[in-house]
Amino acid sequence: MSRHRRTDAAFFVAALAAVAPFALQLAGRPGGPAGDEVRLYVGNLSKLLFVALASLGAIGSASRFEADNPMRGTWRMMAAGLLTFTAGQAALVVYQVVLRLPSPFPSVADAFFVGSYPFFLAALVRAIRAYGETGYPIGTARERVGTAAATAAIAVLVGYPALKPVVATPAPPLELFLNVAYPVLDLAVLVPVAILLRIAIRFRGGEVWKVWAGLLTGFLLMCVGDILFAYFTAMERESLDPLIHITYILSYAALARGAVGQYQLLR
Amino acid sequence: MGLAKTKDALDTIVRMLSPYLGETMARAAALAHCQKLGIVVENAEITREQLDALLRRFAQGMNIFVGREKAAIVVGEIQAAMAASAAS
Repeated sequence: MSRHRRTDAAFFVAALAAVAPFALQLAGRPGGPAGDEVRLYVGNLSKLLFVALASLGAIGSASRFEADNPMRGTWRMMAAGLLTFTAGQAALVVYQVVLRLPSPFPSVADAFFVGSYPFFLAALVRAIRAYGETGYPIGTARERVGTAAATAAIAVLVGYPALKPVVATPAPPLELFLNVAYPVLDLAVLVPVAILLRIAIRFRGGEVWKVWAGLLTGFLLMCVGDILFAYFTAMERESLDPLIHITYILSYAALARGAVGQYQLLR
Repeated sequence: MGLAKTKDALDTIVRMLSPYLGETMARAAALAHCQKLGIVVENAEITREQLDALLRRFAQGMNIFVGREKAAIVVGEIQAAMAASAAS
């Protein structure tokens, strides 16, 4: 088994193990107080582990690209975003696992989470530019503009009905702002993600594809998780919380697979 | 190294780059580079200069994905594979 296949297998098994307690809860087998404890630890720590791993992969990748390589800036921005995101996740772990409190919303974690988006956007836009410099047949600039316009239109069509009940639900101003800001920022990230996905799919079958498939799947799932969170919170559908946890865990695992995959490609 | 059939040389390049770029992109990039460099693919032989120019183009693109050091290693492996196939 090659190193890359071993990495795939390790991430698959770890992600599956991390989502299992939440899947069981969704299936009507919560497991009582012991199940709650398992989900508290597994959910929090697996998310933290995956985003921390993604950060390390991104930092390692940024340091291995040469100073004049356009991908160095991409991975520096990605590392900055992932580190900021990891700080947010660590804050949630402190509330829930260390202090054993329900994490407040909004909290300091949200400042980190929101603060990570400009870095992610910058990283993804830089990656699109860098791909353009490869000289490989990755499609025309016109195709990329078309993809951006189509994704933006879909984002508005999906975002508007999903956010309408969120905005209509009475909530403190900061809470309302965050409930809208997360999905809106996610949908903004989806525009460069869609362009990169269209480019990266031409590399399917190769390791380059795996790197970007991981990262882009991670961002897509993060967007889904944030929309579900905002929607379920507004609709008071707490019974569906496990679905949100599953989405986030898989998102962070995919981000980690992508970042670690890039680091392995450079070694 | 004697002159190799362009198609054979491209097949070797595609085979060596497929683990990184995927076969579809490796082949599409090879054909696109040949077109830009004016290299005839069908029923033609590739000169040493053409091959070097082609590999330089590939290396420039590979830098973006695997870094300059690894790209140079991959190009070296392609050259070694070409030399081995020419010798056999």
